[in-house]
Amino acid sequence: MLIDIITQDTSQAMLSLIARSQQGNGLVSALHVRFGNLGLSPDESELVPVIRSILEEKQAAIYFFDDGDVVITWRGAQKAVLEALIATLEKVFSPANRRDFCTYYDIQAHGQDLRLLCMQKTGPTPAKEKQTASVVQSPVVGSSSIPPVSESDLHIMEKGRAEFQSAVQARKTRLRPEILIVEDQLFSRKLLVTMLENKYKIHESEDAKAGLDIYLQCAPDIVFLDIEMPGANGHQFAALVHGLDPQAYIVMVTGNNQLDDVKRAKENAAKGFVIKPFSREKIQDHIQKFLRERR
Amino acid sequence: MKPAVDLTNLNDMIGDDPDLRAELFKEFIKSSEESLAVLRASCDEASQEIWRKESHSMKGISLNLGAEALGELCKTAQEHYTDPAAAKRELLSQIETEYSRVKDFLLKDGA
Repeated sequence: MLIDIITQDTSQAMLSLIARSQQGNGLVSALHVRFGNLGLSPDESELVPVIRSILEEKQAAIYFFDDGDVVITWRGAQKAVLEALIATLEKVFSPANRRDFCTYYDIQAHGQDLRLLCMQKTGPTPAKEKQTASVVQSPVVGSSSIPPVSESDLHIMEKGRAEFQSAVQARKTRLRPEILIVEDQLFSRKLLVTMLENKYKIHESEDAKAGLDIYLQCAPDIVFLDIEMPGANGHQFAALVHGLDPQAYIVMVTGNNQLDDVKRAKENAAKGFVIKPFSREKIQDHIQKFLRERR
Repeated sequence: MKPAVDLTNLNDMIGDDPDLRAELFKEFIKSSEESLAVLRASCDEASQEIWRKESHSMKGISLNLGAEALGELCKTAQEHYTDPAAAKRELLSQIETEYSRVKDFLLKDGA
C-alpha cells in the first residue's frame, strides 16, 4: 500500500515540494538541514556552490524556508552522495550540535505519490516541531516551476484509500476487537500477544513502517504502541495514524515516563500511556476503557 | 539478598505454561546478550546514542521479566549516556554482574 508521508518533523508543505520537484518514478533523497537551529540563514550564493559540488548531475532542488532551514532533494539514494553532502555541509557550517543538524529521507516516488523507505535523524527531535513550512522560494537548481503548496494534499493515495475506508467501515460492526501491537522487542511483544490472543484478534509488527501497513489494511480497534523503535518512532506513527484516522485508539507502551513523551503522546491524541513493566491489569484496563467508550 | 527475578507479574501475564515460559526466558537471554555486546562496544563518546538506545531496550525487557535490579541499572545507564567511557565501563560491569544473577535464576531456579 502506498502512502504519502507526513511525519511530525516534516511538514506537509515540504513533502509536497519533494513530490513536485522530483517527478517520475524512482528513488528520491531529501535532506532537511536545520540551519534555523543554528541561527543561520545561508543565502543562495553561499549554499548553492556547496550543493553543486556534490549534486551537480543529480537533478537537485534546494528550498529555502523563512526560519533558515533548507531542504535539498535529488534523484537517487546513494549513501556515498548523502555522506559527502552532510560532511561538506558540516565542514562549511560547523554546526555546534551535529546530531541535530540533518534529517535524511529515502523515498520511492511514483509520480507525485511518495513512499517513505527510510528516515534517519541525525539527532534528537528539536523541542519545537515545525508544523508548517513557511513560504518557499523558487528552487535554484534543477527543478522547473513548482505549483503552490496546497493544504489539501492527500495523506493516502487513492489506491490505498478505498481499502482503508473499507477496513474502517468493517471496524464499526466488528464483534471481536482487533488489536495491533507495534513493539520492536520480541520478548515484550510476545508477552502482549500471549496475554491478549485468546480474546482478541492480534496483529503484530516490529516496527512502525510495517505497523502502518497493517493499520491501513485492518483498521484495528486498538493499537498498543512502543515509542522507541528503530526507524520511525511511536510518536511519529501516532501522529500519522491520527491524521489518517481520527477514531484511532492508540495506547503508548514505553519504558520512559518522561514528561516530554507524555506530552507528545497527548498531542498525538493517544488515549493512554502504559509504563513498563506492563501487567495484565494495566493492559486490560485500557481495553475495558476502549470498550466502554465504544458503546 | 533479594532474588534476581520476581516472576509474579510475568506468571500472571502468561499463565501456567512451562513451554512458553522457557521460550520467553530463552528470548530474554538472547536479546540481553545481544544488548550487552552492543553496550561493550559503545562506551566511547562517539557512540552515546547507541548506548542510550541499547540500555533503554535492555531496561524494557528486564522490567517486563521482573528483573527489577537489572532494569534499574539499565535505567541508570540510559540516563547517564553522556558519561565518560570509564564511568560507563564501570556501570556496564555492574550490569553484567546483575545479568549473571538473572541468567542463573532463569536457567536454574526459574526454569
